[in-house]
Amino acid sequence: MQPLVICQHVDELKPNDGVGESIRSLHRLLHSSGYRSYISVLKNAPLHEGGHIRNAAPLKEKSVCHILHAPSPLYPLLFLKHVHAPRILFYHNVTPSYFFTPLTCTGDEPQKRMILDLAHGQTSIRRKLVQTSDFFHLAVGVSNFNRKELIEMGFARTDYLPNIVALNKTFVHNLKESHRPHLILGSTGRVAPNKNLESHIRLLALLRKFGVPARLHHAGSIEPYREYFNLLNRFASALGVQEDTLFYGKLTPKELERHYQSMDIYLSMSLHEGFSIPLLEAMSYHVPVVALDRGAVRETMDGAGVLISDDDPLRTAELIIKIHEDKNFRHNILKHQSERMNRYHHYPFRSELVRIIERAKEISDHSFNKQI
Amino acid sequence: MSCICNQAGCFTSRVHLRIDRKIFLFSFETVATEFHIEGAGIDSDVIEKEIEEKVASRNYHPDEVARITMLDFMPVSPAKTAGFDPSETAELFERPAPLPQFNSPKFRYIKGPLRVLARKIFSMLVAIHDKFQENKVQAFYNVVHELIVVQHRHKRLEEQIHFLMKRSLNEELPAAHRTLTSTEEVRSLYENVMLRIRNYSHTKNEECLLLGDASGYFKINMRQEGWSRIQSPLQDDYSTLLMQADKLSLVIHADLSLWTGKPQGAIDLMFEKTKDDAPIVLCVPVAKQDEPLKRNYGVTVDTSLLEEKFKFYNATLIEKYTFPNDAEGFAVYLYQR
Repeated sequence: MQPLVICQHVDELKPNDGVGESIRSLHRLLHSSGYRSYISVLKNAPLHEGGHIRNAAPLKEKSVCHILHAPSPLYPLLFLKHVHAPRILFYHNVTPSYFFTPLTCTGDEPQKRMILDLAHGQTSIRRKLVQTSDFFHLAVGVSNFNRKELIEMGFARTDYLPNIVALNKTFVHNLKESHRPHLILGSTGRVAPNKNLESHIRLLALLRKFGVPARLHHAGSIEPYREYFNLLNRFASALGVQEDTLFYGKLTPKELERHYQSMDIYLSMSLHEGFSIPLLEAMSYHVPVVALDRGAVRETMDGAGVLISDDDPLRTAELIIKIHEDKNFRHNILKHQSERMNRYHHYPFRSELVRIIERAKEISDHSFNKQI
Repeated sequence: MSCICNQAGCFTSRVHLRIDRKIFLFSFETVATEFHIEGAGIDSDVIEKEIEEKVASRNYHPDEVARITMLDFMPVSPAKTAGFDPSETAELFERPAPLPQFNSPKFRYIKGPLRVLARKIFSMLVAIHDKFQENKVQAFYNVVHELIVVQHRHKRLEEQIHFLMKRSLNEELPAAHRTLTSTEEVRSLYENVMLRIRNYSHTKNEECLLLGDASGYFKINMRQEGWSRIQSPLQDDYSTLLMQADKLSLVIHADLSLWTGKPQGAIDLMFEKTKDDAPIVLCVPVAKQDEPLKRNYGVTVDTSLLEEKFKFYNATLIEKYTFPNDAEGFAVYLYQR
């Protein structure tokens, strides 16, 4: 019997991007599980990546299972409409537009127009998802938070598979006290309004006020929300911490590795997260994580790190000082983070993925037989 | 959220109800109000207590910390703008209705393939509707964008006006204008006085003459009340005005400093020209220090002298309003014979 062919569809496979990396990881896992795996890329396709990326129209055979990833534009929908094959949606979450609309009050006209278009784009994807809830045989949330959103959008058959991320397993953190002159608060992710980076700056300003020589290092693309980045700079300057706030922009994997290694504490005050890969990455580099409990952050942390319920700069600053100064507290956090990493590494991704594909196939066959 | 009009079927209430529902639907994302920490192997209570102690014991200036924690970041924060909230409206707009499951008993006959068909029809209708609405959606976002910009401009204008008003009241405008502590205080003072006056005029069922004060504030609001006759205080000779008047039901002499003669003389004239039972509302400029008053008005109003004068006419002080923390402003006295 021919092995099932799995084709993942994406408009653009970006390097060092959360969804992109998840697609690559899924591709590798499928391949190693005995499936013939392809990634169909609409634009800017890399020439070769393990010989399995194919910039072509989706395959037409019946033995193909199609996987689409949202929020990527669901461009092959029309084509797949008449193909009797299992169709699976992987939902990585769409950031609600209300995080972006206040930005239209500032900046120049093209910038405002662009942000408005982005908000409109996010809206369109959500609407499209709702309209296509019957089209997919199975919708998979990369977190239970996302799964809940899928159910709210009207998807009748949903499932759950955490994001598959290739995490560092080799870096061994030096658990001796750091001799750096500064306390480095680190964070990673696109510079976007939902990341609430202004709270990071507030915290930094408070720490400086309390006499703690702290610095803030953030890695992540500043596009397309350049206006938000400008606002952050102005905000840091108003609070007198511009010198201590560093936005690296997008980093290469090597640079990102160094970024994680240089952190004393990983901070996430994000207001909306569909999964949050950086939290796991920080844990894999043995950096204590402090995160605001919003979206899927709680389930990503899975009991590790320190979860805070409210964006209270004063108390969070004291917590950071405590983690930095109290060696035992810090080691205790790191110990539980290592346990969390173990749990993540031992998650049965392969068997769960196979189960999901089989389930989708079963539903697809069932509906096909009913039509006949 | 609820509407202040508290009427059944009020449009605003219905909108608020929708927003309430939306917030309820998003309850998994609700914002916590208290600071708690969680983590495996962490004794949250102990750490929280320790943090609270540190917060209490840390030696910092509260104003400096407040500046850091309260400084506005966004040009327009959805949480801080009252009334219409464009971002929330956009979110409400973008959240489409999910496909119905047809599980309700009233759809009990729609089952099996019929249910699938019904869902497909619904989905198709939504798609058609969306196709037709494509330009309207874009137009909606254009309108939202404009509203955000207008709201922002409005806020900035308000700030500028407030700033200019404050500056002009303090420095630039002629003597008749005074420093007022805040618009809110003046409004509450005004409302109290107006309530009193309304009560009097209703019981007497008579028309009154109001003499607005020079600050402009009372004058404007009195016009809004639609009282029978308004006399502008800018007709600077009050004595002439009062002397020309017949017996009055009520006198509000808002600003004795405009009086050309001695303030006590003004009181004499008031009693002479009002009906025997007419209440008198008196706005007196007061100052803790005499200098600004002298500088601005060239007169010093000694309130104790005025009160003595009222006692002489057997007028009882019913109510007295003053600005509590101000170096200069108005004291409003309400007298009844």
